[in-house]
Amino acid sequence: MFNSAAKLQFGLAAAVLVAAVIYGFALDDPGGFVIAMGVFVALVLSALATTGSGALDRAPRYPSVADSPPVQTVTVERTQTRPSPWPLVGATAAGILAVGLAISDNLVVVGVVGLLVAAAGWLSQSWREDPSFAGPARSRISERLIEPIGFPALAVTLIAVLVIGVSRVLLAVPKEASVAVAGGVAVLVLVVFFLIAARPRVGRSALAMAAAVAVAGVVVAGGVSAASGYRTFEKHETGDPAAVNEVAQGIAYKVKSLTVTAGKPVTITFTNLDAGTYHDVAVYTTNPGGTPIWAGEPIKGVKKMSYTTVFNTPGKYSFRCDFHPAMVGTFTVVNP
Amino acid sequence: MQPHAPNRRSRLARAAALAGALTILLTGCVSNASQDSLKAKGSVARSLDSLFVPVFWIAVGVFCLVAGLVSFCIVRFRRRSDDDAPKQIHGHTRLELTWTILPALLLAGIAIPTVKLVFDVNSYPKNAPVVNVTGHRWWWQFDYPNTAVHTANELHIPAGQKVLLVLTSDDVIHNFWVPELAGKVYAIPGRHNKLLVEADKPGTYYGQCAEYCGTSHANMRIRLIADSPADYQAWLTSQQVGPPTPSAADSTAGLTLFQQKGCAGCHTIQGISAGVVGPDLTHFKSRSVFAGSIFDNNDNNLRAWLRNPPAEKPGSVMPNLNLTQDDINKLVAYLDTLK
Repeated sequence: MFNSAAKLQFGLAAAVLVAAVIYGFALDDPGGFVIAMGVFVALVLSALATTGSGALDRAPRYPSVADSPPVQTVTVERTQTRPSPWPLVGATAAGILAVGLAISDNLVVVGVVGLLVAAAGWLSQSWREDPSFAGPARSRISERLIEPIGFPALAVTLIAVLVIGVSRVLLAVPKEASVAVAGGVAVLVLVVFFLIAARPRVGRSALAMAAAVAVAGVVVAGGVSAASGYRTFEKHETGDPAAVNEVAQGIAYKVKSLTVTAGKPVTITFTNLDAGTYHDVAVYTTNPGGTPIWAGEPIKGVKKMSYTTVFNTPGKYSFRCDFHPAMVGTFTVVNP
Repeated sequence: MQPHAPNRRSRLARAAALAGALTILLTGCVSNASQDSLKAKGSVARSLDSLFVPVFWIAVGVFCLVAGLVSFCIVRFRRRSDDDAPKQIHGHTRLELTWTILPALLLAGIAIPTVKLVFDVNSYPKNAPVVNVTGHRWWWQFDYPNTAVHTANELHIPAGQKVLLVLTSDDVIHNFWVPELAGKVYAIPGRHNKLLVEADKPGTYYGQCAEYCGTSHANMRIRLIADSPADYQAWLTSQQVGPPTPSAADSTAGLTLFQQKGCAGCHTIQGISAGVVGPDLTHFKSRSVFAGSIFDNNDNNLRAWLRNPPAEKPGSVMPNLNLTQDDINKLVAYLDTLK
C-alpha cells in the first residue's frame, strides 16, 4: 500500500490543492491558479508512481527470531579522511547572509556566493572521498574543468580581490598616505618575489601559506577601509545649503544679526551653551509680537541643533528666544 | 504540622489564581465598555467582526473536539497495571487521511474569507476624506490636508462616511486603535500607514495607543468624534478662523506671557507662534480634553497642568516652567479665549 514517500507526496499535493483553491478564490488571478493546479497534478502523478512501485518502507516482520535471516556484518575498509573545512565555510556564509539581509544588499550577494562555493566544495569533497572517484574521472575533471576554467577563474578572482582590496585602502587613507601605501605595496611585492626567485627550494606549502596570508591581508585591509569610509574629497561644485550659526551663552545671543538668501535652502545651526536653560531661535516679522515666520526647537542645556529650511520672502525680520524676551537679533532675508 | 504547610500554601496559591482568572472573566460582563471591538459601530469594524465571530465558533468546536478526544483517551486507555502495554500498530491510513484532510478543509474555509478581508480593508476609496495622524510622546496630532486645521487628541470625522487616516510618528512607534470603529494600525516614524475608519452614527468613540511607547503610554488616549456632515463642515470652518485678539487685561497679559515664557517655542497659535513640538493651541478651548485626552479641559485642571506638567503626566515632554500663580492665572485666561 502507501509507503511514507507516497504519503508525503499526497500530503504535499493536498496542501498545494488547498493553496490553489484559496488563491483562486481570494485573488482574481487565473494564471497563478493554473500553475498551482499543475503542481498539484504533478505531485499526484508522482505520488501514484511511488505507490505503484510497491516499495515498502517497513522491514518485513518475522513471527520469531528463528525465522529471520541471519544477521550479516559487512566490514568496509575506509581510509582516514581529513576533517572537511566546508561546513565552516557554509556556516560563515550563512552568517554573512543573515547579517546582509539586515544591513546591506552587497553582503547578501557575498553570502549567497559563499554558500554556493561551500555547497560546491562540500559536494566535490564528498565525491572525491567516494570509491567511485578514481584515476580516469580525476584526470577528466582536471583536463576538462580545472585547467581550462578553474585556473583562469581563480586568477581573475585573485586579480579582482587585489585590485578592489588595495584600491579601498588607497581611497580610505589620507591623500599623502595613499602615495606611501602604493609605493610600499610595490616595494613589498618586488622584495617578496625577489626572495622567492633567489631561493628556488622554498616548499610548496610555504609558498601557499605566504600567498594565503597575503590575500587574507589584502581582503581584511580592504574590508576595514571600505567599512571606515573614504576620505573626504574636495568638491568643485557646491549644491550645499548656505549655513548660518548662532550661539546662546549667558542668556544672550553671540551673533546679533543673521542674513540668509531668499529661496535658497539654508542650514541654521544653533548651539546652546547655558546648562539647564531653555533657548531657541524663532523668527518673527517684528519684535516684540509679530507674526511667526519660522521656529527652531527649544533646546535645554548644552546642545547643538541644525535645521535646514527656506525663507522665501526677502525683507527685514527679527529673531528672538521664546524663553528670554531680551534675547533678540535682526534677521535679514536678501534677494538672491 | 510541618508537612501540611506547603500543601496549604499551594492550595492558597491555587485559590488566588482561580480568583484572578474569574475576575478577568467577570470583566467580560461589563455592558457599557467604551472600547469593545465586539460591538462594532461602523462598517470597517463590522467587517472585522464578521470574520471574528465565525472563526471564534469554529475554534470553539475544534477545542471541544480535541479536548474531548484527549480526555476520552486519557480515561479509556489509562494504564491499568504495571505490565499493561497497548497493542502495537504501524499507522492507520484511513485515520491519517481523515486528520489531514479535515483540518485542511477547515483551514481553507477560514482562509478564503480571511484573505478576502485582508485585501478589502486595504482598498481605500478614492474620494474618502483624509486626515494625517501623527503620534507623539504622548498625544495624537491630527492635520487636515488642504486646510489650516491642526488639532490634537480629539479627531473629528463626518459620520456615515469612510475616512482615510494616514498614520506616522514623530518619535517612537505608536499604534492607533479605536476598537469600536476599526482595527489597530502602527504609527511608525518615517512611514505612512493607512487605516480606514467609519462611524455609523454621530457620537464620541474612545481609543488609545496600543503599542507600548514609554512612560505615559497609558495616558495616550484618543477621542474620535463623529459629527453629522453639517456639524462636521461647521467644525471644519470654525477651526480655520484665526484666534481672536484678547481684549481683557488678564488675557492680554496672558498672551504676552505666552510669548515670553517659552510657550511659543513649542506651541503654534496661528499668527502668534510657530512651535511644532507640542499640540497646536489655535483652538485649544474648542477641545473637551487635553494632555493626551486624560484631563477635562477646565480651568482647574489647566492650572494644575501649568504648575507642573511632569507631575500631572509622567514623562511629559512639556517641562515645569516654574510659573508663578499669577502667571498661571493670566495664561489660563488667555487660553480660555482660544475657542
